[in-house]
Amino acid sequence: MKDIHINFTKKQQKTELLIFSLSLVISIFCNIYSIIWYHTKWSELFTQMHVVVAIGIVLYLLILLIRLIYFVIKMIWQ
Amino acid sequence: MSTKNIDRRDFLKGIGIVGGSSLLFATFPWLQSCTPAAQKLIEGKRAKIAVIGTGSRGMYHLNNFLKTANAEIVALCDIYQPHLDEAAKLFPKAKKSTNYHEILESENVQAIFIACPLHLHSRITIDGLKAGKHVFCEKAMARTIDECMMMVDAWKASQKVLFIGQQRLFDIKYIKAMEMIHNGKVGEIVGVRNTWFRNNDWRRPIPKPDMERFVNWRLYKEYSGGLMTELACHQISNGTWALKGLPDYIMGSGDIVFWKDGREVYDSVSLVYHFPNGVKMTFESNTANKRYGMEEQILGKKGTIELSHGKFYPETLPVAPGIRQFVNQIEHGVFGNAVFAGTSWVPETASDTKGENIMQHVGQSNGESSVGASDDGSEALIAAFCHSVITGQQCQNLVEEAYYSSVLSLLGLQAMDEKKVITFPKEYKIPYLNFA
Repeated sequence: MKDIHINFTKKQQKTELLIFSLSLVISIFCNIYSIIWYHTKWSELFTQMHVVVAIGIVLYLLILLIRLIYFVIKMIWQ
Repeated sequence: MSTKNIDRRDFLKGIGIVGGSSLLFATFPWLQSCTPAAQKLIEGKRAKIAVIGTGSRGMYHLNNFLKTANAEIVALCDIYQPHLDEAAKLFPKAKKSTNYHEILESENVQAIFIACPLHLHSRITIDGLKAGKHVFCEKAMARTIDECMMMVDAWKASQKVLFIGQQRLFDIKYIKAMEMIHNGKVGEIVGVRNTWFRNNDWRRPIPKPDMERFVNWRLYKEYSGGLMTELACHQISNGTWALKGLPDYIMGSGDIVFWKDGREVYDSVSLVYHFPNGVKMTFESNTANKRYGMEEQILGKKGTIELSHGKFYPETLPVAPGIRQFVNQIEHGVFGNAVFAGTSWVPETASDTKGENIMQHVGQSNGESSVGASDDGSEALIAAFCHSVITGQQCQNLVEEAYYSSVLSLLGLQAMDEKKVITFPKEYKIPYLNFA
């Protein structure tokens, strides 16, 4: 069995960070939207931060899955 | 939920948590002897008590007396020698007797504590009061309503202290719950439900065949009212306590459904107590299925309190945070079922919410023990009795509470025996609450 080395280039790391940050921002905006739409307390901006982070992670993973599917299809196509 | 044994200090602290104000004592006047100030009055003093009846319940209380600093057990009495010997192991210095009259003649005895079978309660209580002793008598008060009335009359004539073993009146979780109810936390009370389910034959082993009725007296009508005088009388006061009123009529049905072993008392009962404002209180008991155990529920427009569990269930659940509502909406949109009809066909199954604990530490009992439970107010009740014996001051409302819970239990029994709706008889009303 051989060692597997996964190398992330600087660019790749930046891209992943950017996508994750984007997911978090979307999640925060979802929270703001929910507070306005459901007339709940503004303190939920902080008290529900754990939910926001969880949604951000789920969102990032979803995007990752879509990207992986895209790359697999692209590889098969080529 | 955390549970722990509630000692005297916890009880006093508990009262402090509940309020400790004059408002508290207006609603629960019998608690005045439990305050630190009242306790200071009897510091270092001990009530000289004789325990009459040293069977299982007597032993339960003797163990409680061991934890009570203001009690001295000076005499023990039982007609069954093995029970008497067993009790004497706990209190070897106490005088032993098989005749309670001997105890009543003793000048060393200030008070008697009666833990005998029900049919003996009134006779020993009345004799005790007439002999100038303070009396604690286990619940229910007596086997018949007339005997209950005679006990009240004897108590009034004696100017002595009379306590009946209504330990729920000293149970912190009940006090806290009742305070919440009276403060409007559950809204207008619309119903009271009491259930007490067990799955056992309620029998004790008998040393000899001719001792059946002596040992298993609870199963025979001559000595006992069965489930009504042994269990219902504890729970019936929940309604009168919560509603601050007494029921005007009673209906019910009782049968021997499962334990057809020669017993005379019902093993399955179901009763409705109707209050003047239309609210109904139910009591249901069965001794061949224990799935739902012992439950006591006060149902209000704004919420439900489960007394035995010390839990509050609001009718309106707190609004979920916006983001969770948003996620739920998406979930329903993606995974929700197709709608077949309006909501009217949906069965209203019970909510599975966990409810809120009404206080931090709640001592619980499932009601299975026929001897006694821990953390059920018994220790505080005994301590209050000792206080009253030492000071000579009767705890307010205790006799009235006990009288009505006993009489209502016995009227329930009458309703079942006669298969009739029983209106509360005028001649058995003593001044209290709406019967004042």
